[in-house]
Amino acid sequence: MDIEFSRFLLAFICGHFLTVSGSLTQVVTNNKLASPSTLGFDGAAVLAILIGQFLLDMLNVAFPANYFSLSITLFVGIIWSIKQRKSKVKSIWAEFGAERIVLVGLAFNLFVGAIFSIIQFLYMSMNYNFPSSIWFGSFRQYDQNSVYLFVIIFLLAFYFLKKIVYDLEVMNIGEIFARGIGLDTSKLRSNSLICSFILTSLVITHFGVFSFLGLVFPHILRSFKLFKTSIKKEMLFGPFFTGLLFALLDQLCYHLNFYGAELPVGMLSSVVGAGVLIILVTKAHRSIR
Amino acid sequence: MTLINIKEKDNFCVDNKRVQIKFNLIPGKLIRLIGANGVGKSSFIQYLKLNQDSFFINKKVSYLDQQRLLPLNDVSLNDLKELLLKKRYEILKCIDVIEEETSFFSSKPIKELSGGQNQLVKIYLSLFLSGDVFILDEPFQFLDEKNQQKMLKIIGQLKSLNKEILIVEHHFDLKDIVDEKVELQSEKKWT
Repeated sequence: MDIEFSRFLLAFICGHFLTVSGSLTQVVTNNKLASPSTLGFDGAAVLAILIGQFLLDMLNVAFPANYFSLSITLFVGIIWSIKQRKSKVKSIWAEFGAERIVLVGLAFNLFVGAIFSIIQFLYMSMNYNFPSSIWFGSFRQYDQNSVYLFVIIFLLAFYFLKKIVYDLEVMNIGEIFARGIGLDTSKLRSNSLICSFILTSLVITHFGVFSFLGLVFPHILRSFKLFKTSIKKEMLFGPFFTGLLFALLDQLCYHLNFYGAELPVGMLSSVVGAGVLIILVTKAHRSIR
Repeated sequence: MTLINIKEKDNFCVDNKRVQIKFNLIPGKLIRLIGANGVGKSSFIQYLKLNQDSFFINKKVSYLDQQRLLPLNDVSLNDLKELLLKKRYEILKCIDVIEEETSFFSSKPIKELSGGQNQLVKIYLSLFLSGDVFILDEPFQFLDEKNQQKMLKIIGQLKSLNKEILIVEHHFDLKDIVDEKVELQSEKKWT
């Protein structure tokens, strides 16, 4: 496979994953602020990378750090889903917990930030190699195997989404309403959050953090007439557009070098994404007035 | 007829207070659920929803909730009609009255509707989905006088269609159409 095409494909799939994760979290919590970064998924993945790197350095084992940290996050995800399956408690007013989930997620992200500094201090004092580049994601380095992994997960995620998209559309009307139709909203929510968690940690453990793109992409999609009235279109077709946008942004970084150094696409996308989000939100506010 | 019997062992509690209740839903009869504020009437309805399969065997239930519909995107009532078509149980004639009322805003995003319009959308969806049992939680809230009268007529028509109806209502005078009153009470024993 051509190197540049592989990179384009990977960036496309990552953009797709981030959009899907963002949309899923927003719909199942009925909260526009929810995203993998505000729910603390980013923080969890970064923590997994740090722990993974630290363990590998301590034990002196030659194993790809990204796969090791991915296995840590997947392990956490599997434990989470088993715990969800086993719990028989059905909460009646679960939807009021959405705001609380975001607050806990933000607190967790702050907590990880603090841990990050402590571990950085430990690494530096012990003369270990510190993975500081994870804060701004980039596709500079990747191996061919991850292309296959991403394509497989992409197909699985698409199949999963296609299966639950009707339920998500009903859930979007309102959780209490959806429950009246006979939908198991707690199960749908936990499944969707686990899916979002896995997709996010896959992206972060391989390429680093693309901060709050998961928040911006669904908002960008919802500003288009084509996607704003249908969750099905937003979930199944929308991510192809944002994925393409993200891949093109990455190509821009690839071709525009600054004195021989490549700008991480995570850095560029954060700046562009933040600007776009501000414009979208203020515009929406104006139209209500 | 549907027997709703929540016993002590069901452990249905609101604010750590255990709630017990027993009554029958009878076709063509309107049962009014009363109780003090915060005793758990709406929670009781949500409890029925969660345990739908054990209470309503082989029966389709249509709910009207208190909570406002607040979708994330710009979905409108027309989009919802299309979406929920496959969940529709039967076509009720009395829906025409509400359909006429909602036609002015049926293509407008639901999240931009006023309180009363949102309530009309909820009533419309409840009648649209339909069922053998109707559970209405404060159906008259936010409605103007004209629409309150229409809603009253609709409830009368549902009764004549032999539907089992449970209604929670505080303000509205329902003396003429209510067949039975059930009171929800909680005890303090539960810790």
